[in-house]
Amino acid sequence: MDSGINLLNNELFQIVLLTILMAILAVFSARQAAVARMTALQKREEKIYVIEACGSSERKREYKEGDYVGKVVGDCEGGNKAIIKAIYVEGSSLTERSKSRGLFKI
Amino acid sequence: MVAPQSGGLAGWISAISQLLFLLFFVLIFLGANQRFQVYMWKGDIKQKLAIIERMALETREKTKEFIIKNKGKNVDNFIKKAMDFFIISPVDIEPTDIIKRMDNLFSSRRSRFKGLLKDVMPESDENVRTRAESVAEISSALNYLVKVIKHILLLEEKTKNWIMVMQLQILMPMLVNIANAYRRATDYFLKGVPIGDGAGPLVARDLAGPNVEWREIVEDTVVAMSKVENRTLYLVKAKGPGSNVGRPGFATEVLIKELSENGQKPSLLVTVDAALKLESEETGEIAEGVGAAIGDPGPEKIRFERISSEYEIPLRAVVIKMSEEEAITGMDKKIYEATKKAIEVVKRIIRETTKEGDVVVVAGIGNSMGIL
Repeated sequence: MDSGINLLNNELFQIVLLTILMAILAVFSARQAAVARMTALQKREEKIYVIEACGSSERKREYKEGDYVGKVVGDCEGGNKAIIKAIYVEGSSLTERSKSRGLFKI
Repeated sequence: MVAPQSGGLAGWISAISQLLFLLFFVLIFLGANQRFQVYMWKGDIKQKLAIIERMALETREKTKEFIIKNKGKNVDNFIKKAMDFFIISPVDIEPTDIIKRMDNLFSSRRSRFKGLLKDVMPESDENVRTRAESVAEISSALNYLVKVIKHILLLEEKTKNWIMVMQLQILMPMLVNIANAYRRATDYFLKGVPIGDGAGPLVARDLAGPNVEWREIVEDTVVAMSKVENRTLYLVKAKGPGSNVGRPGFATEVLIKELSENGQKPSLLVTVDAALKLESEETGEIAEGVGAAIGDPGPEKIRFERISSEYEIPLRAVVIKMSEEEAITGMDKKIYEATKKAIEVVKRIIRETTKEGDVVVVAGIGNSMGIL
């Protein structure tokens, strides 16, 4: 066989070529992963809840369009009005998400 | 350099590889590696810019849909006007009456936007219009961000100043996060859900209790009276449930003047607001201090400082820590829980600083969206 073919068969040459190819692949994969992570940032599961208060008793339910804190939503037993006391989101805390990904070890 | 052997492929490969090796070093000396690096940076910036552009477009479309859904007219015209709207900062090398000038500029901006929205959405109520104004502002901010990134990219191509690209590439992940926060905020503004910045107004509302009457003391700002810890409490907050920050400084000034004229000079003025946390701090941490807890550019904050010093009223501040994203998106449960702790802190300050029968003013600073 030709000596050029022998050179290509050289194990060291093949290892170097493979390493370079793997490095290029790793760089591009990391970039794609970064873009995928950023796109994933846009899709978060968050739920909005409403706390209705009737005197000292409270009831939690899911948010409906048009709800606001202070809105009278009905009557309670004893003649009082049921009022929305709070509206909040669960599952949106950034620090918690960062911690769960292990980015911060505080 | 090894001369190729006659007819030997190995010799040619060796010669070419040595030539390439030499060329590689020549290119490095000529700065080709930097050009490649800049090329890679630009590729990265363009990829992230595409994400931000998608967010900007999505926000703009949602704004349009919201206005159309609420019987809006000439929506495209309004969006264009809102996108390009700007405020020119007042001259600050001559600071005399700068607050008055800033106040005038902000008032002009407010009335201009109110007028525009009244023309575009004449049949909608004020709450809906204020939310439309906020989403239009978010849309405008995203649009501006896209414009600035494109400007830097094009300027680099013109001037070959690759330092700009390098700095921009380093900033891009942060800019994507900011853009994403704005995009997420849009959904909450469209729904009218209280945001993190509403912590101050929520504290004021809870301190007042559910059965008090709120009266509009100045434009977009309301006040209520209540009894807490055997003191007479006056609560100030922005008018809700629309997206308003009101004029809490101006309202407090008017209120304190009214009270003092009636012989009810307040013994304490407390401001409660959301404050930006450091990354190592927990969302919902409470801190207290002195001064006016308000993040406005000046006109409102200075009113708190002036009125409290004029009437010699101690000015205390209570803040609820949160990130910038948490401040503009739906109120997190942690922030809601923190408002309960803030109420206890305010009550403790009142007990420690005043005596029974005294008059106290508490201003809940922030956006009252979703909070009546």
